[in-house]
Amino acid sequence: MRALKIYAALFAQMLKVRLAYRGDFLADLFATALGGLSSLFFVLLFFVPVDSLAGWKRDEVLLIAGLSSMSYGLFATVSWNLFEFGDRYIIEGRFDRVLLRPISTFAQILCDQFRIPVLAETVIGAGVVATAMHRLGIGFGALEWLFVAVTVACGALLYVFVFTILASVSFHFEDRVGVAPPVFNVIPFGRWPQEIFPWPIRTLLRWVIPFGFVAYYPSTALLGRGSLKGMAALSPLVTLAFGVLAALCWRLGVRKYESTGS
Amino acid sequence: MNPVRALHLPAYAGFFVGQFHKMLAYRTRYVTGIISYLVYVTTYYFLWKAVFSRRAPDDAIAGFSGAQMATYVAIGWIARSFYFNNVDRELAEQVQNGSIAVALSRPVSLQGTIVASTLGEGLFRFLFFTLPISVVIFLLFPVAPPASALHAAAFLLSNVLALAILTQLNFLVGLCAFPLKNIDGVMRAKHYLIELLSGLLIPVAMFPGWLQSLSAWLPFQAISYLPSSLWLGHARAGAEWLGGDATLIGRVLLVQAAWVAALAALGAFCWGLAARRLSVQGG
Repeated sequence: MRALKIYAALFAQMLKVRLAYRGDFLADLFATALGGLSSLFFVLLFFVPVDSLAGWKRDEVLLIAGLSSMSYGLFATVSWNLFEFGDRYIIEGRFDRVLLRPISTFAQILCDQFRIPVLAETVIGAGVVATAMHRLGIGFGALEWLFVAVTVACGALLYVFVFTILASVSFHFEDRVGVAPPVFNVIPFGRWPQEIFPWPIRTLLRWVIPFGFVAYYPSTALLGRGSLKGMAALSPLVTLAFGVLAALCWRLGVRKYESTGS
Repeated sequence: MNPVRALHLPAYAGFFVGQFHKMLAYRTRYVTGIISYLVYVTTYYFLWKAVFSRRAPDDAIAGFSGAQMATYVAIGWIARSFYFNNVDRELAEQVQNGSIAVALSRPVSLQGTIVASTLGEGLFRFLFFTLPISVVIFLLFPVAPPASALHAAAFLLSNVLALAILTQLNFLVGLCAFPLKNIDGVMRAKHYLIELLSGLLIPVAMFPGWLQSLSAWLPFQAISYLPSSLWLGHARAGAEWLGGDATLIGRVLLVQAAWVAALAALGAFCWGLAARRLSVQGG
């Protein structure tokens, strides 16, 4: 209860900082929406000269991309501190301050730079998913909505856990850039039908950096296509497994932490 | 004695050398960077491979065969590893933390120092980033050699101009930090717009007609699409107004140079406006 109150206070403080420049906030929101739209616009452009990709039609690929955008938008609200963790907290020594507060270190890192405008990407993704589902004749029953909601939540958490594992590497190797950028660049792999990739990449995206579970496997389930539609059921389990792994890595890192002494 | 001073190089050379040294200090970034570029090329290579594998070998899309598309993807990303820079982010940080005041007090122009440092960074990237990436990608993917020695030389020069165009665009985006305090969204939107409209992800020749016409009036295709067309020796290059093969090289370089000049002038104008209303707190 006490911890919740502290979170609420931290969150309110952060909101105040962000809303201090209201014009900025709106410009940021507009620009983020533009960015989110243009990544989906690529799928539209791609299907101008091309009519199908490994048997997937435009609207089916849009469904994958839309689901991926929804998860990514949620993840991006908290992602910054994970990317900059080594730099901001370990090298610049901010982690001392985090340790002093009587609440979870991990929750503090996630909430410290909460970004609201990136949620525009989730909203745009939702619009694309709804449009694609409508055009593909997929029903809009409670079951479908629940499925999309669980998928998006699992996808966002999966991103958070993967990048937490990578951020916790910073406890052991001090480096400003860290090891996250190449994995961040793997995210677009997950926006396309996995059949187009050779088996080593497919396996990598299934079990090692499991971004295939964010949008691709759930889409095959929604569309009821292919032999892999059952994989979507594994999505919450994979997310849970990576959550456990992330928690272990984080704890191990915090125990290892020695201040910069500054 | 400072070697730069001993050689009596002009002041701008100091920024060139300085940036080169600054880049050397962040070596791990280049190892992860090489992996990142491998990931980019892999994604888009297989995307296009899936498209072309279902077509007849001579069934080109907008003048691109499957083999040419593989080369286009590889060359486009290799070139990006050279011309990419963070001028917008760096300028915005200077505005936000007030160190821009130091830049104002220097007896040389800010735009000039930025151009000098990005050229220094470009040389560094070319030697320690673009070359190793090229080796890895040439070994792993089927990349065709340039159309001719002349095309290869033009391709290199064209990418220096692409670097100059992107630098000036990034300078303009960085200047947004004067009216806005936070330009993350603007930078993100710019990033996606350039990726798409430069032709890096999909050649401009494959755009729908209206977007091709629009692109002809925008600087973005001069960053990736036009230089890569030189490597392929693509006479069509999706821009018929550029003319036939003989004059293609000259015209591409001319169009790029014109964009550098136009954007630099616009940057100078906007910088003049921004510097006038600058207030550095406690600076």
